[in-house]
Amino acid sequence: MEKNNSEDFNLIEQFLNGDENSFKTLFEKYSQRVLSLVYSYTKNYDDAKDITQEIFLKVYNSLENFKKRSSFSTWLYRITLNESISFLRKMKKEKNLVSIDEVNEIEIQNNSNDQNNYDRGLMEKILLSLPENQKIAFILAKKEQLSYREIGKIMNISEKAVESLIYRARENIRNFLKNELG
Amino acid sequence: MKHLKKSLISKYVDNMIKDQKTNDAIKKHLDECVECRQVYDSYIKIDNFVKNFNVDIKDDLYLEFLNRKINHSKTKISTFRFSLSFALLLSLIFLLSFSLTLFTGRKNILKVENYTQNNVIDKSFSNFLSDGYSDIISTVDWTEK
Repeated sequence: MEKNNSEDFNLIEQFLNGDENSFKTLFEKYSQRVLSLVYSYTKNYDDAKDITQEIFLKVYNSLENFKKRSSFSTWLYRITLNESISFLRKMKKEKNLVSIDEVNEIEIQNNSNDQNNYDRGLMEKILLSLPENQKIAFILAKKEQLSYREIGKIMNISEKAVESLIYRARENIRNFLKNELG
Repeated sequence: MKHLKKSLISKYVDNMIKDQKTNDAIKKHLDECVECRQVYDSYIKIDNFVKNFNVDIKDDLYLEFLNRKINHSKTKISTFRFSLSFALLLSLIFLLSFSLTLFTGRKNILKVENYTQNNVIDKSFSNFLSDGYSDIISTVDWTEK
């Protein structure tokens, strides 16, 4: 983890000294992770891609303000969460404007995706069934291998709260799988 | 047999139990208790499920990011240009209105000056010829002493 941190700090330093390739390295290292995390919020690839690019644009423009008090990944995931949450808020406002026909269209698209790839569909269904906080804490812990402490920093909650969110996420998924698979 | 709390199993799965004795005790219990073992196994399965969850990137994200960056800086420049021209226009309007006010103000001052001069002379002259003045004048002794 420490090695990873210093690698990131070096890349940031090089970028701030004018080396654009260092930013490309950072982008390639984290874009897939950020995209997956955003996707768990949006459940839509195009939206997730769009938000991911916005996040990296924000990072690109504000890297000089990064104080190195936390690791780069913690800072990046925090921006990711904030951007995803503001997207969800915006969507909730616009939700009422979507017509019934459009909703049916979305459902048909989702169903066809499920038929093509069952595991992916099941995974999406499970992610959909989780409350936002549980979902994010669990993904950060399992996919990003972050400690409770780091997740707490990103989500602005205590370690104890992270522990409880992950436990509840596991239990919810277990119950969901029990109901789905019998 | 007493079962382990599920929250403790969850913490154990995450390697977040610091005390070695507790860790050993949990491990021993999981070897003996089928029910707790099932919970543990299901947690591990779920973890692997989430670990393998990936969104396939269908496009060249970095290339798209570069395009967005260029567009963003273009928008920034055009916004800057727009604000600059707006500020220039505003200051031009301000200067124009200020000079107009000065010009019309000077004209008005001249008018007022002319008006007051004429009126004051007229008035003092008419006052001089009024009855009150004649009365006062009549009381004055004009003869040389």
